[in-house]
Amino acid sequence: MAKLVGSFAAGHAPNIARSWDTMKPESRGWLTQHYHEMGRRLSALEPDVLVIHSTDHWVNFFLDNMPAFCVGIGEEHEGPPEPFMKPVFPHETLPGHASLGRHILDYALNNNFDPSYSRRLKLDHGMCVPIWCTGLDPIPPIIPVYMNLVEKPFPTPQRCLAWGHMLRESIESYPDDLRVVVMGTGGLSHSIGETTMGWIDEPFDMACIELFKSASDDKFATDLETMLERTGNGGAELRAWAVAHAVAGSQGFDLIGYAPMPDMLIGCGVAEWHMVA
Amino acid sequence: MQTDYWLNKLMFDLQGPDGKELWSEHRETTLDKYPLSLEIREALLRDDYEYLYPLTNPYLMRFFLLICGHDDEASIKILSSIGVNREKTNG
Repeated sequence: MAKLVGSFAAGHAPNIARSWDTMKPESRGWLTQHYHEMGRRLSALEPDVLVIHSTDHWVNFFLDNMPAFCVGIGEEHEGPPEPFMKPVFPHETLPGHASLGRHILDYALNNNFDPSYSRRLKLDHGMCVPIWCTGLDPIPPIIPVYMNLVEKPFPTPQRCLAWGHMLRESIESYPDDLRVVVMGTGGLSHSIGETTMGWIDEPFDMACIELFKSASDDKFATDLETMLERTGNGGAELRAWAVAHAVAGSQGFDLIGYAPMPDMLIGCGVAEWHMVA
Repeated sequence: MQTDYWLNKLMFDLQGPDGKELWSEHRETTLDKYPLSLEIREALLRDDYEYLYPLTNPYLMRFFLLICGHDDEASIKILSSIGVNREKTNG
């Protein structure tokens, strides 16, 4: 049977790729240190598959079709189309895992979720910046799960927690022996294209970190819902972290690192969850 | 308040590899492809970001400002100066 062996989350700011060579050395040093630590921990788990949750940044979906969740069930997916990603992550395609992807899709549809699906997704910077920064080599097959976190209405934090719990069950009901790692990407606080662009809401970030450490699911969902109404729009991506939180069993995490990074326009967090059997 | 579908679609489409050139060299003919209101079209022609702001998804607005040649610092300056008194599009 498949086994969930790890759950991680990390920021995915496009500026990490866009300005890698020109950013402040201390920013590059911080990112290198903490993403490589995440990569070291991830590699030690010897994953066969990564299930990555991120928002789509207007790459795969537009307002004519905006799924709350979309599961990638293809044999392969396309690499990032953004020009700024090409120099650092020049993958035209990345391997998928069609069989486990389809299993997760079927399990979801039979357990009160109605995700859309795609046999070929474009993996934008939201998925590829963390993969690139962790230095994974080789890159395991990826099951991308896109969430709509850019245009309201969004899935609720409660629903994202429920998705995470369902995802755990689906992985552990897959008949083949696979070692699976789940990742949520994005956050922490940021404000993009708003009048508050550039705002890093450190109190929000600290409050989120506390929720991930010790909150019950009910408190987590209620508090995050309220907090998200008072911070920048990029905070919506904490919903992808909520999936990583729930899939691990909602029993706390190890914050690998956090730093407000004005040049990246984000409060940058990197974390690994405690795995609960 | 609902943003404008076709304005968002224009910005979405400008993400393509030739988007910057289309916008800087062929703005009028690019606009002809979209059923935009006269007010929005005129705002686009005069770079009236304040008028466009509430009609646009913020992520697409950020991208659009980049296409228009504004880096992060300039975009932050432009956006912070927009005195929109409306419900904030937040998380």
